[in-house]
Amino acid sequence: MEAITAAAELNGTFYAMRILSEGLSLSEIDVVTTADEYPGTEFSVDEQSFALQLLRRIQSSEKSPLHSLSQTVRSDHISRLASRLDRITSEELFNAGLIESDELSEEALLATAPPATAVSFRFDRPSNKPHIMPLFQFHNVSSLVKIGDTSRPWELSQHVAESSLDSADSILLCVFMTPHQEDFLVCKFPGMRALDDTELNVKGFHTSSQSESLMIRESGISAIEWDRGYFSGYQPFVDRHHDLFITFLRKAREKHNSYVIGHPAYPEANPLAAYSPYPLPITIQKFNEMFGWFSFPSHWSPGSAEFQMWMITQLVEHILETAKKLGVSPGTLLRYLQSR
Amino acid sequence: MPDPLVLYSTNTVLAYHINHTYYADFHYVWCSPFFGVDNIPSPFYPNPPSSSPQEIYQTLRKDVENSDEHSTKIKLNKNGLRHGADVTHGLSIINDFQRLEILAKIKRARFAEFKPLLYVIPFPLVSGIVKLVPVNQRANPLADEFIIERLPRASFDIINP
Repeated sequence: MEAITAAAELNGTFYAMRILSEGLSLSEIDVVTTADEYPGTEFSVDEQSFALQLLRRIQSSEKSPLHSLSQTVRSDHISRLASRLDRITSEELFNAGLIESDELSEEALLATAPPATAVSFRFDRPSNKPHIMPLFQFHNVSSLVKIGDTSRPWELSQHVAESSLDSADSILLCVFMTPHQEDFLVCKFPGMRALDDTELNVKGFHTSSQSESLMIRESGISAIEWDRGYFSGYQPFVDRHHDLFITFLRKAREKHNSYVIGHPAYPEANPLAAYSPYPLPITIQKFNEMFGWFSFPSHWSPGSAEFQMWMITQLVEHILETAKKLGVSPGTLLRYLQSR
Repeated sequence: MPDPLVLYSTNTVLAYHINHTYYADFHYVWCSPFFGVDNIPSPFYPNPPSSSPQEIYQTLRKDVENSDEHSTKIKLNKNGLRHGADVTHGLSIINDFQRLEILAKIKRARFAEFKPLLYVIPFPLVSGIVKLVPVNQRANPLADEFIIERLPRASFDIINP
């Protein structure tokens, strides 16, 4: 998806929501350039184009014409698009000082129930980034644990193994987006340099110079940065680094309260699949039981920004919601689940 | 088809408030000459639920009464209002601060603010400003749907049962 302005994203996403809600046929909808003909009266060419891109993705991932989608599926997509827009405007309002950090969660506000263990959402969203990675900050931040400095992912496993961190107090969340041939994420730790072609030595691999960050902080939690990677050939990467990543993830889990989010849609091409003790895909409902793995609706394009945001949001919200129900802190819950 | 007598449009308290307060009481509405499926005079005008003012009204009312956090209609309404703020800001109808204020109001809105209101719009008062929704943008190509981008408050009545 090409870079667009925040306004075009907001309006284009709303236009997509409207088309979805009306059950319109995507094949009949073109970009209207005439200024006095709807939707040209309301939506710019960029906004319309953005909407159509979103809808094509949905249609493609659902493998069904847009107008044939069930009401439930359609509502699902509308809700996710709405959440995305809420985040965009919330960030703007937060930056303008018009809402507090604990008001950033739409659902919490709507329900008029101030969450006891609320999470603040801030979004690292420079205008030149078409893709958004949310920046999560748990409340009650007490400290940041620095895991170490390393510049090579294959050194990570060793580094984690040698870390002197107190595993009881640290939480390492590994989100590893593997499957799509055009977009994936590699977790990295503070102090790591950006990955580059030379370091990975994989033809076709490119990292974005616009490093995006995701920080998850709780008492004693780690900060993790992410590099958005793009590469044209997935399989060579898997072949080359399969063992490395499995080792890293295994050691990370042994050493820390770590959680791995894999991609169940392509188990045959997913190095994490080999590490999963569970059949894939699993449902969100089972997440509470399994926790180390997390599933997501198959209709999201796995490499898309929407998917990434949705997945991470779901994960964090699930942690918070469950912790709140149990009356414990998110960290306590994570440690409890890890020990099961 | 002859001109309709009236047009119906379902909106929310929040939408009314924003249009009234910030847009000089000009209201943006989608409307239909038929209130609901029971009022359709011929099988050739089957306004589907998504564009039926009656259905929209009932769904919104139910969602508000049930405090349905997953209400699609409420989500659409909120984001339509956000979009409206962006459009009017682009047209310099509202300034930067007003735009943010509108966004904050939308953000802080509770369920009560999404209580539906039914607008009844005498067609002769709006015949010059009403726009027909293009066929490919209608929920049903045979249905009649209209957009009025700047509907003066004096040109419609509100039913608030």
